[in-house]
Amino acid sequence: MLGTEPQLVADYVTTGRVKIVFWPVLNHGNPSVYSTLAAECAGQQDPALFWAAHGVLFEKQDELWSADRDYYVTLVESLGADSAAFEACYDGGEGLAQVMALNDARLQRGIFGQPTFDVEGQVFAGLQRYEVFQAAIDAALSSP
Amino acid sequence: MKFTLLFLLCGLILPAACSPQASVEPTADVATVEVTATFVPLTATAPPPEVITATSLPATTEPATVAPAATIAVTATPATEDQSSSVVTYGRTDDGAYFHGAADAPVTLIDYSDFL
Repeated sequence: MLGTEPQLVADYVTTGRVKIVFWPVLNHGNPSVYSTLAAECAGQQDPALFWAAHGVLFEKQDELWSADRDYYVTLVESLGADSAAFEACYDGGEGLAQVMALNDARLQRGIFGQPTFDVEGQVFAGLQRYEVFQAAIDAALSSP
Repeated sequence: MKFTLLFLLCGLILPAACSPQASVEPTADVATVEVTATFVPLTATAPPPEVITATSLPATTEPATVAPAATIAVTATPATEDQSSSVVTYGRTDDGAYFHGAADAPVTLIDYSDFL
C-alpha cells in the first residue's frame, strides 16, 4: 500500500472520511516479529511514533532481515523516541504479547497473506492500485 | 620463401580469428504483475506469497515517507472538523492496532501487512 498511501491520506484520511489501521502479519519469522515489536514499542510512547517507524521500516525493508536489537534502538532514537522506555518495552514481555495477539487475531479472521486489505468488509489480496481503493472507499461512503 | 608466405598467411588469418564478436545482451523483460482484486485464502502451511513491493509496480506516486509528528495531535478522540486545515490524528483501536485518521471516520481501511 505504500505507493498509494500518500494519495489516500491526502484524499480521505486528512478529510476525516477514512481511518487507516495497520494490522501486523508475521509471516517471516523473527525478522517480522522484531520489526513489528520495534514499531509497537515506539507507538507505546506516542502513536504518531508508530507511524513514523512504520514508514522508515518499509523504506529499510531490505535491512530488516539482519536487524538486531541495537538496530531498532538506533532507528527509533532517530525518530525522537526515548531509548530507555523503548528498550524496556522491547526487552519486556508486554509489547511482544501485544504483537503476537494481533497476529493471532488476523489468523482467526482468515487473513493469511500480506498485504491484505479490508475496506468495510470488502477484502483485497495483494497490492492494489489507487483506483481500487478509491472505488471501495467511495462505495462504502455512499452506502447507508 | 615458403616461410614468408606462411608468415603472411598467419598475419591475415589471426586478426580475423581474434576479432571481437558483436554480442547482444539479452534484455531482461520487466515482468509486470497484475494483482487481482479477489481474496484468495491461503493455508497456514503454504509458503508466503510473493510480496510485491511498491517499487516493482509502475508507481505513479512516491513511496510514503512519514516524518516524526511531534506536533500532530495524538488522541483517539474524534478530531474536530476544520475546513481550513487538515488534521490527522493517531491512536489505537480497541484491539490494540494503531491507526491514523479520525477515530470516528465513517470508513475503516485495515492494512494487514508485514514489514518484510
